[in-house]
Amino acid sequence: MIFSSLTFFIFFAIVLLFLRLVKSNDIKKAFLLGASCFFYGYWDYRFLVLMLAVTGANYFFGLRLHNETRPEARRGWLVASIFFNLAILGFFKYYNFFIESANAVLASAGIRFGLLNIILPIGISFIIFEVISYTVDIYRKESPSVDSFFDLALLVAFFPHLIAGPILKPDHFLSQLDREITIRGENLNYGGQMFLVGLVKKVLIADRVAVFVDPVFKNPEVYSAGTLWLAVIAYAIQIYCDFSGYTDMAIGSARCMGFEIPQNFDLPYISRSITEFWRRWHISLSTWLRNYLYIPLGGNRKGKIRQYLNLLIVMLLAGLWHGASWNFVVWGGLHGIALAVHKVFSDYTKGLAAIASPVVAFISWAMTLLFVCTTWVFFRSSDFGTSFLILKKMFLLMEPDGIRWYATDLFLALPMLIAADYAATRWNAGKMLSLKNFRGLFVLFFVLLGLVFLAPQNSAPFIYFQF
Amino acid sequence: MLPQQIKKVALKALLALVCALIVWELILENTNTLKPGAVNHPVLGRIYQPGLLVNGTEGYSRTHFNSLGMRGSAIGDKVPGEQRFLILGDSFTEAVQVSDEQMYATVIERLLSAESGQPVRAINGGRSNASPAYYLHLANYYQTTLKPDRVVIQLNDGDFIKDLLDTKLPFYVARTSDGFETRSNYQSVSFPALRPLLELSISRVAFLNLKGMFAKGERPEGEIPQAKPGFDYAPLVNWTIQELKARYQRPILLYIPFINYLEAEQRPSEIEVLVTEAAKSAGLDFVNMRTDFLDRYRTTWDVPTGFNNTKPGMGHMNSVGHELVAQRLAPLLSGGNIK
Repeated sequence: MIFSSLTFFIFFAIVLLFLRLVKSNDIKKAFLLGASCFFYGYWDYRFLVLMLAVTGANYFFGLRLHNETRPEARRGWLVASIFFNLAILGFFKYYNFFIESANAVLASAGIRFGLLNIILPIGISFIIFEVISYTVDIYRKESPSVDSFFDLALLVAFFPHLIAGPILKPDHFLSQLDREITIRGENLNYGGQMFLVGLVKKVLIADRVAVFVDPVFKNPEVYSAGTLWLAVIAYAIQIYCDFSGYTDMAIGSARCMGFEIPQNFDLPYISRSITEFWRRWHISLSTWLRNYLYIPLGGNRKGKIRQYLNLLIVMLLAGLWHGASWNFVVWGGLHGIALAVHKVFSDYTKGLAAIASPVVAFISWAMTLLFVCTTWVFFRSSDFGTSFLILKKMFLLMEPDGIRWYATDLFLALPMLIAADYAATRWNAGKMLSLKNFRGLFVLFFVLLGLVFLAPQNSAPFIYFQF
Repeated sequence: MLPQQIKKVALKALLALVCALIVWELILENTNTLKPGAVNHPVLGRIYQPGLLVNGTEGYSRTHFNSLGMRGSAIGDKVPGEQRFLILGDSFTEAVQVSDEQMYATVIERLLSAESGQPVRAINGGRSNASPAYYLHLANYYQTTLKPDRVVIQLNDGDFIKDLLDTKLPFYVARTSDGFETRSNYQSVSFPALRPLLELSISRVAFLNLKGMFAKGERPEGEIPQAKPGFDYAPLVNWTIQELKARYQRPILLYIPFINYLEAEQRPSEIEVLVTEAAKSAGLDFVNMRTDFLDRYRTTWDVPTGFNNTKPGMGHMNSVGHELVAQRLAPLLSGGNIK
């Protein structure tokens, strides 16, 4: 069940109606948990068992960490919880990847390990990161363990963020469970409008642009260098609109039920450095990586060289988190190197950053965007061979000729993206459309009708669901 | 809210909805699709009424239809010295994806009139969904009314795989005890009271989009039609070619193949082989565009089908495809005066 499907709209309408009609908050919470389990089990009921097992185990670890006072024992429980969670993730997501990699290395020695027929549970990476932050926060005494298993289950399974985040700060969400779940007009207004912006980004931009991106990345050898550049730009737009559209819909649907989910994107493509990009792109992941990986590794507390190395390690793991493929590792590694280089540059040219010249600003922006777009090639391509072929053609290192496809959808996507981001920024600043005056109502109907008239006929699943 | 306020907001909402619909109608009829509407012709059946057609779903064009539901200006009586050709075909010939100047009928006119200095008219008789059943059934009408000097009949795999035997179409072929025969089919209009609604671009686009969204597993537009396994197409193809030969004087058969340009090894389709053999044994002029299309693609990477708003290599012919077809047909129509 994806947010942009008719099934979800029916499901969500029933959830809202139930929450509106029922009086008891406990029943509302139980229903919300049931609905979230249904939402997740709609893909495959077997995923539910795994999610509930992970939740149950972490509930237990949380209680032990909370009740235990001896530091060594607490550390032991923390290690056990992290080991358990990473083992689950490692088995379901990375087992075959590591076996295949080992087989490739050991092939000359005639050694070959067997692969397992494992189904990757949807959103597993997000679920595991969520529960790790829960137990680590208890260990750090930043938040207590939950009293009720069902509260933790709702934190993990809460359907707006279950599949592709944002990764929530546990205490931020759990504290909202103490309040009564109420359906309010102003929340419906804000939530509905945010959901609509997300729907536009997903259906009218990401899905339309995908019609151009997919065939070009499938057969890059037959397309011209110009077309490949356009496809890479189109993919940059697609992944942003797909993921941030999902987040907007998550924020919107949660707000309709009275829950607040923090922002996950903040106009990342206007960044003037790669460091700024990671402050604006997938904010909840960047924050998680900083809090639970970069800082424990020593952060910037152990000298410059160690800090640069920490950045590289964090981004390599961030790449691997995205997918079990060396392409993602390279993507993460390149971003890690870029972050380290930018850090070195910032450390040694402090004065330059202070220059408020539009020329410097433009060059910084263009270089950042060029780097981000180029590295998307690794993120999107099916394998290394394809990535290198695309890059060689793009940078004219091989015959640049091929089919010239100047996809109209790409040129339509750009103004729509600017309009959608403008609307989302205004609404986040509290300047929502008033649905009591003609202007607000006209914009609402115009956008709703636009979804009917311009939506492509095949809606694609969200890109980040695979992670 | 008080009832009075609710009434006020409801009124504003209604007004806003109507205004949004009007704005979308203006946008869609200029960019996406505007059909001139349909009329019932006593012989030709349901045809476009004269007017402007805008197509933006595959390519972009603003094209014109005349009183016979055909592309281009009105067809008058033949003037002295005029050479007149009639080109029959389906949507590949009707070609609403390209402008009036780019369709191959017009390019042929340009090439031939430049060569001979005489007036030349190449009538584009293409109709979407048409098949040889149309050309056979209407042969007499076409020849007596339009008086062409020569007729070109465009064919493709879809004619034989789906359109020819489709009993829902106005003209189709039915199997009889001793072979085949053409039949006409009175097209009753479903929900006639709702027809005017479909004249609006907003209802047409919304209907097609919603239908597409709810239809699962349908053949995506532009995909290559596949022959039904085990179905013997040879008798149907042979009968069709023989009938076309019998009802038109020296028709030229133009075959437009579906080509997957990404395939390294190109093989003709089953229908292509059958049509080629049938045309040869009937002794008809036969033009197969496969080699021309592939040569152009291999030398310049120009794909003769597909557009920037669809996928190159899929769907209908673009201006390159039309130009190539015209270059092949013009020498045949000029009687060898053009090489």
